[in-house]
Amino acid sequence: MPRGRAPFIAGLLLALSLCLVTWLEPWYQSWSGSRTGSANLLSVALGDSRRLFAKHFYVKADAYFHSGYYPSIFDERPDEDKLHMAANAGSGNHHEDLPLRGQPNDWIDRFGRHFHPSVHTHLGEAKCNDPHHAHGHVHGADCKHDDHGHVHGPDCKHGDDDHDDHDGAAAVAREQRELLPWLKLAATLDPDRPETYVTAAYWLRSHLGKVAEAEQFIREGLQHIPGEPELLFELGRIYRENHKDTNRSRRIWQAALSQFRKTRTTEATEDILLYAQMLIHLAKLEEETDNYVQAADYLKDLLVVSPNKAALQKSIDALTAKAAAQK
Amino acid sequence: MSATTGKTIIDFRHDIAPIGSGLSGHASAVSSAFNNVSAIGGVVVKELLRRKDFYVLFVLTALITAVMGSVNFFNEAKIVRYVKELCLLLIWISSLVIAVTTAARQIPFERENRTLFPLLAKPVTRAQVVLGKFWGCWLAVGLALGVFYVFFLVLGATRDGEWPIALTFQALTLHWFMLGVVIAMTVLGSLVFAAPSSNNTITFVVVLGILLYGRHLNKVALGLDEPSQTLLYSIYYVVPHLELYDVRDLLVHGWASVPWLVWLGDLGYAVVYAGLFLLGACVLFKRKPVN
Repeated sequence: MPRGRAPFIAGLLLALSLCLVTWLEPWYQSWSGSRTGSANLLSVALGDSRRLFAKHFYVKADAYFHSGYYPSIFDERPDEDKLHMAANAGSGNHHEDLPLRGQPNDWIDRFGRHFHPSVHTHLGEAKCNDPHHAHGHVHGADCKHDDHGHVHGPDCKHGDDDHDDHDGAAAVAREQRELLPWLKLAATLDPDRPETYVTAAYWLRSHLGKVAEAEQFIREGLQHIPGEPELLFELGRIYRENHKDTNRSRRIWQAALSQFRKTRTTEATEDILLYAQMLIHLAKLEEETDNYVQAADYLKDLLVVSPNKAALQKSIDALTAKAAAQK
Repeated sequence: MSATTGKTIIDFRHDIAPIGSGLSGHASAVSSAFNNVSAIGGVVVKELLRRKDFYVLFVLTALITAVMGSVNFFNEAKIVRYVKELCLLLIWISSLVIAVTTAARQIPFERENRTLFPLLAKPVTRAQVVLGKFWGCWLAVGLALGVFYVFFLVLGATRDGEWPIALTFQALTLHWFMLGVVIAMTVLGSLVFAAPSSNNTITFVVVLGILLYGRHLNKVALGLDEPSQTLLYSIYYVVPHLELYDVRDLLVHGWASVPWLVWLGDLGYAVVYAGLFLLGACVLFKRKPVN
């Protein structure tokens, strides 16, 4: 190429690129796939894939709840929305415990179980890979565990939900707080997932005595998902069970109920459970504050979706009778 | 010295090596071989100390762990398991990188620089070169692992006040022996594959594949039809189960230590596989032209 043409071509390319940038830049700014609108570094870096990581970390918290014992993708594992650690959190939707591991398939499998958590256990329970410690095992007279640094007393039992760790409540709390980083990380990566906030808040307020942090976390969730009934219900529980603030919890639960009726139906089982929990809690609250008519009204609403109509009708009759006596 | 021909033929191993050692015959040959292997191994250890790989990886591990450990989760200062898990993951990654990259370059480097010829002229047998390279890499990785695990132990103790000495010792030794198998595999690979880069890549893929899926191959096999089931189950039995050396979950979640007899058996399993790979490497190197 002749030397004289090089600056000319360079100038031409420069002019072309400037023309293109004036057209591309406004298009990019208004493009729905652009990540420039988000101030969150993780959101910019990972895009929508962060939701996958969020799920992974939420499941990781459940693995920590089981002290590392967790089925792989090649085993039978619970639905991500029904993890055992969330069994008592929020509306307590159909949560499942992990399946027990079956017999080893071969000698490598049997030998390998010594090197990873292979006995089903929960936070605060004794941890030993000896099959003797398997969930459901009842301690007998011939059981010896002294080599594990775990000495049993005469009243010691394995296998029920009353755990067998002898270190006391402090040790249990020490282990329970280990769930928190994963839940926080899951919420950071996917802030639109209500169960993460509810589960974390449950563990914070019920087991670790951190009511203020639980409330703060639920409020963070409400900033991301305004009016989410599940979060409002959990917030109401914090005011009712921890702050003992009846009026505020009533208002929050009523707001949750109102939001639920606006945004959801009672077709899905999870939604029915949440709806029922809200109505039951409101009815109980009204009954305790001697508003029997209101309590009966909530139970009448519950009657529509409840499978146990006879027992519920009895409760409604009792409340109606109390209301009549009150007059 | 040969008595049958009358000529003076000096055999280095039989005539020179025993001089001053007080040994003779077979014992002196073994002693000489051991010295050669140790000397070659010592050079590899010095090479690792001179290179910056270990220092960079250690500083990175410490830095990332410290930064993650300083994150505040709900004002709970004593949360420790996620830090331990992250630290152990970084230790595993770092040690694998050090082991594979160090082992993969040893023999190709000697050949490229033509230092293999004077080395073999010492006289050092080809098997001793292979064993010396393996020994040096394994020792160097062991030293690095010692530093990493001391850091891990101190980190855990400063956060939760617990010193799981027995389980940490088991984790360290199991990890070290697992890396012995990986190093032996890499040394063998360096004689099979054309370049260290391809050897590195293939070894990493194989090792990660075994670590991630080795434990589950039998379950996958059981779900297949014949003859795929038998084939996959055979692979399951043949591959070295490196995942048997990964006790990170036990360490992170505070489980009891592994029974010592089982631990010993696991080390023996690693010795068998490392021996097989080294035997393969020695046989291959013996038949391979050095130029």
